[in-house]
Amino acid sequence: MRILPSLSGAWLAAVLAGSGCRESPPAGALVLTQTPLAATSSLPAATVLDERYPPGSRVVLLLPPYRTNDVRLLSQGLLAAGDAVVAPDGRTVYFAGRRDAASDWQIYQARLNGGSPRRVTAMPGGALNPAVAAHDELVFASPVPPADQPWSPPQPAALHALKPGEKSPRRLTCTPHSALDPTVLADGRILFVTVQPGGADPATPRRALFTVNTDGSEPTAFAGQHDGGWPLLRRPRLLDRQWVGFLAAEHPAAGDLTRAEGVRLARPQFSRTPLLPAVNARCRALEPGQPGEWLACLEPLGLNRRGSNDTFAVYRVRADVPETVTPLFDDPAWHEVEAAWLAARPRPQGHMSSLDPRRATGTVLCLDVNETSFAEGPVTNSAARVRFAAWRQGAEQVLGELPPHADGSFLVELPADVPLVIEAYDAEGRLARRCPPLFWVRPGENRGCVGCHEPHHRAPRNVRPLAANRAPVSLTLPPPALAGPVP
Amino acid sequence: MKSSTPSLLAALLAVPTLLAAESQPVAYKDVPFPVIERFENFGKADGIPAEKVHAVYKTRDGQLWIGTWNGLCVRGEDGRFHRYGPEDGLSHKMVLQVVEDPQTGDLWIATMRGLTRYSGGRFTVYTQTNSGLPNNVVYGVDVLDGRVWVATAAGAGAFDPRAGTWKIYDHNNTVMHEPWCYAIQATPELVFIGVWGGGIIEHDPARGTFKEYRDPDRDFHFDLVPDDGPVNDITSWIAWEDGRLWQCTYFGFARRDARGWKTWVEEKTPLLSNFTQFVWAHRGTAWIGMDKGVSVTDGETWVNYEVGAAGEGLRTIHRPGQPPETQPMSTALANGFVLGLYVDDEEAWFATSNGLSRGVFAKSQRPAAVARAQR
Amino acid sequence: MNPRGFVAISLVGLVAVGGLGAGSYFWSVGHVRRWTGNPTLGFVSCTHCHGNDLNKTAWAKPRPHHPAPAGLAVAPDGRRLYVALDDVDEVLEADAETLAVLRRTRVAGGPFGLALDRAGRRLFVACRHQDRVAQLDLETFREVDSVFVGLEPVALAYTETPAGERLLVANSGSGDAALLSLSPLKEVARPATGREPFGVAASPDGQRAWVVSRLAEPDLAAGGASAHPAEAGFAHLFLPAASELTLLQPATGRVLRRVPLESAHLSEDLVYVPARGWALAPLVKVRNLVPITQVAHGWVMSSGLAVADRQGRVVQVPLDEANAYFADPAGIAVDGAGRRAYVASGGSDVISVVDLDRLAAWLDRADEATRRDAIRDLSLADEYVVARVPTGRNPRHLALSPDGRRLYVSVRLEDQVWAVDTERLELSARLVLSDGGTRDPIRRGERVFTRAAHTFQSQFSCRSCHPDGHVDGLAYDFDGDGIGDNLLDNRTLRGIDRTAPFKWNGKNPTLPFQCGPRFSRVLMRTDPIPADDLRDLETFLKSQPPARTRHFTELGKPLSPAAERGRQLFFATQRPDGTPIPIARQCQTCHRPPLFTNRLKTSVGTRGPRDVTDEFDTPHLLGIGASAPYLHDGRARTLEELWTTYQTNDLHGVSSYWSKHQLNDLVEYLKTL
Repeated sequence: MRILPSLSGAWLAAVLAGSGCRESPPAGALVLTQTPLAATSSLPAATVLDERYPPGSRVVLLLPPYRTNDVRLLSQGLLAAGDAVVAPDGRTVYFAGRRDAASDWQIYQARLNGGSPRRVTAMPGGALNPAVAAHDELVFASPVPPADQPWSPPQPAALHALKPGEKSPRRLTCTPHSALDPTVLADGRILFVTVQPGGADPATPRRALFTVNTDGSEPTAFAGQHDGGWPLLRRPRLLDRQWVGFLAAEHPAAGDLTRAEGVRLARPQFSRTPLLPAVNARCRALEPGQPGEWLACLEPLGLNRRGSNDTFAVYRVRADVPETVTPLFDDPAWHEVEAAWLAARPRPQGHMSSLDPRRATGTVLCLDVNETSFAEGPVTNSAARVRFAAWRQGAEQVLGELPPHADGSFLVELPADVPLVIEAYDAEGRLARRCPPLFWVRPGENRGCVGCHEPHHRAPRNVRPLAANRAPVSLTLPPPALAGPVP
Repeated sequence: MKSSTPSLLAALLAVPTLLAAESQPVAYKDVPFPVIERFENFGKADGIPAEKVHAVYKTRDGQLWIGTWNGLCVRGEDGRFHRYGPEDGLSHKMVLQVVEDPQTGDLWIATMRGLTRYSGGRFTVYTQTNSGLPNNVVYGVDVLDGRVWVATAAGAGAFDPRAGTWKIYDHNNTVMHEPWCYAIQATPELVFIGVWGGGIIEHDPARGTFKEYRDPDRDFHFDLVPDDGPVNDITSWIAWEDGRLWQCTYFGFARRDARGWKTWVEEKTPLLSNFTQFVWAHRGTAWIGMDKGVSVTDGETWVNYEVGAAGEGLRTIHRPGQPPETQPMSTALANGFVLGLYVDDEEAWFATSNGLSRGVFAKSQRPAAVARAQR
Repeated sequence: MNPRGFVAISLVGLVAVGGLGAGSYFWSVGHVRRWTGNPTLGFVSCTHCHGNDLNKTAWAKPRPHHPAPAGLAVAPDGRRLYVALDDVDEVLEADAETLAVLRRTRVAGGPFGLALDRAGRRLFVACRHQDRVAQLDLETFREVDSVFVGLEPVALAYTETPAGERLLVANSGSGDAALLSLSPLKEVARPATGREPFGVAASPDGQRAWVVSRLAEPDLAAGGASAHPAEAGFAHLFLPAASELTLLQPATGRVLRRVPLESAHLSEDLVYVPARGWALAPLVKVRNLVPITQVAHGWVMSSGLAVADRQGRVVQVPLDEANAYFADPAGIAVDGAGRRAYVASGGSDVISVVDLDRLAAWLDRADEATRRDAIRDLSLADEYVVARVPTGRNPRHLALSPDGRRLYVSVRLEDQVWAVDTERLELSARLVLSDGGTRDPIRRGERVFTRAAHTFQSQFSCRSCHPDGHVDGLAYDFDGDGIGDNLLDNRTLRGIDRTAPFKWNGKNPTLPFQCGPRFSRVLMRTDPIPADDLRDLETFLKSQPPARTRHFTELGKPLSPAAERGRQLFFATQRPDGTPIPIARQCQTCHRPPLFTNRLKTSVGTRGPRDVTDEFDTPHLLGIGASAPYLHDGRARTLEELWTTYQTNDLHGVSSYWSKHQLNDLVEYLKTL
């Protein structure tokens, strides 16, 4: 009988070996995305990921002491890979990869100890931008937008979530433009980038940061809505307790993002700041680092200590250090364009959903449609009626109108999972304010808003809205007189 | 717009008389309590929101409060009256009495719908439905050592704010034979309750005992036997000071002190009118508001203030054993129907049915002199 | 026995057992219906009415005691620190530099708040559980004098006035402040304050003193009622409540001004800043009138600071951030120069450091409208909150050394006192009084109860609505059952052991159910509290005794005559004329002693215009005198209103035959429960 434990041990060892479970990566390991110095394909990039991660791009695990010949390939067998993210457990790594030129980009889970990665998604049109929410839920965007029209393609990218063990992802966002670059905040919300409509120049739409819960509820403006947004905005990351950092550029044509910017969590609106003001370098990624520092992938420019054949490398940076120092890692054969510590990080808060999937509508309570940052106040800007429309097939379909209560409040039941447009008209029928199709309600969701274009980060007054004394007005179907698209 | 010519003429004609009056300052020097030299009157033009002023009270910090038919008012530094009404938290617009808790400075306000506390700028309302207040019609209120005593249309009540408890005293649990209480006065040892039709109830809170003082002759209209007890059972107000209890009734006026009861009726005494409505006791003197003006007495000497037929002021001094002396005054009470009074060493205030009056004391009658005379 | 016989006997037995069971069932249902007067009730457990004994409740049993630090006081020379340990009836003296304990003394009655005289020779101690203030001689470190004050004194402030030395005492249980003279130690005035006064401060010149209350009450003078169409008797439910900052004259106790703190409550400390003429009180800005459709953006509540100037004008400014909240602000301390304020966030384990120069500059810049709305701007604190210093679990009281270099922190639920270097904002010394009591599930449960991290962005903790496990006196509109529908009064969590089910609709059979997934879904909007924590939380909640409503000196004494009459009325089975009172409408039927609830739902005619049901869970009445307002939506502000304004057809007890005397008697009795 003594042979049984020995056999069991051997079987277990064999299984572990077969699964590639050799040993856990040591502390200080980095997950890198490396792109080749020169393009290996002459074909034009079809998608944003093709552009960002040309064939040959790879995701690797770099172990201390960070020698160029001691990397572990995590995207084994893939034509190109990148966009890696480390889950809060510090052991799970997701990235976007493409098996061959004919296949879509999908999300893969790396096998840290070797072996081919496991494909996690099978989204039509591909998937990109993995992020990990509470309870190890995978969040990503899909489909992968085309390179020439990333924000307003025929089928804009939306955020999706996939729970461990489930096969069918849930769609989270209903924006008319692509919703991209999700990342997860400590409070559990998903921070993402989409187009902020209504800018001064429609030809150059501005991007802004928004949040949404993991059940797709409460889409909310986060930053950029009140200070102009950004022509280019990518890779928002929660850097520490104070900052959300991202890559931004002031010129929409900037092919490669240059600047690391950030907004303060304490005051996301009106707090945009260059995070590395003294660093003369192009930046491709900014990630949380050890306490007091961040991890950046930079390509120093101009007057620096390096030659003209510089590549992107990994740096430990601090906002208060005047210039870049020696890179943490630089393989002259590659651009290190993204880097993240392979380490456990605080788990985000979960969100207990209160949605009711049996319903096809949600409810919106607006406390005062006349509370706004767009004008002087209710006296000059009083709304006499509020019009609601659903955004379907690129056009508005009017659902109906209602007069707000005397205190400016209204309570309305609206169709779920469709972008909604809300317009406030004054007594003369002039459009006073318009909420573009940026938000939606989920089935059974009760949604509240303080006002209409109210200053953000504004808590409500402690006032019982008059609308709460009545049942919600149901505007779930367009009335005949108003049905039909509005030009 | 009415012409002001008649009143102007009257004023001009009155000047010689007034000068004569002012030229006789010694005519009341022997009166052992303050004598009013002139009246200053206040009405709607000063911000008082109603003709009827029911109550007047000056707090320790010198603020003057009045209770009117249409709200509570405080006199501002500019001399104008600022109104508080139900919209500010007052329990009812009709304010019947105002007193101050000398410890906390809180005002306790009797109204036609509940009792209100005004403290530090905020109102707190006690009604018969939200508290143990016996009845919403609160005629009188008094405060002593933090305990609030009320006279209501359905009994007297005692509120202990510290414990949050109320006690009710009425015909069910006291010797009071009907519960319509008009006035209440708390003293260090005893509480006196003026009962409409029930005389005066004396309550000893320490012992829990009650004693009833009724008009012994039981005659409703006449004081058949003087000085035998309360002048009448229809007690309209009471005041207590230094062992003296003063009683207003609609059929005369009375006092009880260590020597017993003393009664006054207009037919036999200098009392200006039997219809006495309010009494304020100050330094041994009773200031009595009634339907014909004000009587002031220490029990011996009387000074009556009336409004003459032409609206002029009349002051009549009744000295013991001497014929009354009537003196014209430069000014008169705003109205002879006096509903409330406040008197201190500096001045006297009169709540009347047509405005508020301030009585300015003659300089020779300052309280210090009074005190010396008493010594 | 042959098989047939066996079968026959078995059948007979089965029939007999079945019959017995059915009979028992029908008998018990009949019994229940008879004794509740409710003909629709089905089978309910016997324990609804029988076998209940207060001695069996968790809160009546002995529990571990912990040296949890409460009030702190620093000697004028800065060399000694005094710490009140209310749960173990001790006050200790420590070296202010090393925090080494030098002396301990027993002070009975839950020593909670501390104050020193100017010379540092006498220490005054508010003994919360014995309703008294004790005076310690610091030479002997012994109690030398004591005076009874109001209920549950929690905070003290010393000052010297032209009339002599004064000590102002916040009596949290009786809603007033005791003003004491010190030679001799006796009460000279007892002005009323707001509900549950918890913080006091006095100016060093003895001219002004402030008291801040913890609970808010409807601000009837706010004028909002007329603007809100509501059925008669309900308008006040839609008025914002206000706690009170009471300005007093410390020499006499005269009330100079009562400043309403609109929609603010849970102020637990107060400090005067002589250099600026400010009184500062941390507060919770509560938004109970807004239907809880979300938590984000301070939708439910946020933390702030009330800044009152010399004229009593108040500006409420936020302490929270746009994406992070610092719940349950408790203690506050300000340095002598008035440059920095420190505010302990008991729910978030953080000390917020407020730069008062920056705050003053912002106040100077802001116009009136901006000031008025300042508390709503969750990005504003970025202007003046310059640091957040992490602490141990549940920082509550704070004290500063005279030179302002050391901040002392009562880390209450870890039984520690911390000294924080205010230049480096780092821990410099620590007084460890125990291992933190982590083996005690009650203590662990209290940590869960006070931890805001369970809520979205740490906006609030359980304690934010249930200070000390009790009520905040407000009604809330949860959106789960419809926006605007079913306003719910905040029920006490004290004395609730053995009173399941919970919630006004009686749908939550257990506390873990109530506090776990349900609250997570409707209120916290985060993951439910983990199972282990939930078990501890349940243990903690069950250990909480009912609120005490009788003065310590009255405990154990017989009822007053009025209360005794009220008791007889409560248990009356017939009217004075002999007419029987239907069982269903006798007080004792639903509010059955000893818990004063039969734990069943009952209709007492209180269905409101927006309620979806007319049956509500019967609340227990233990400590009811301190649990206002009343009824499921809090419409009755006082006990009297239950039977005056809100009685319908004698459904909530037969009260139509009561005189006003009897109503008062009943109320007096209820206040003794």
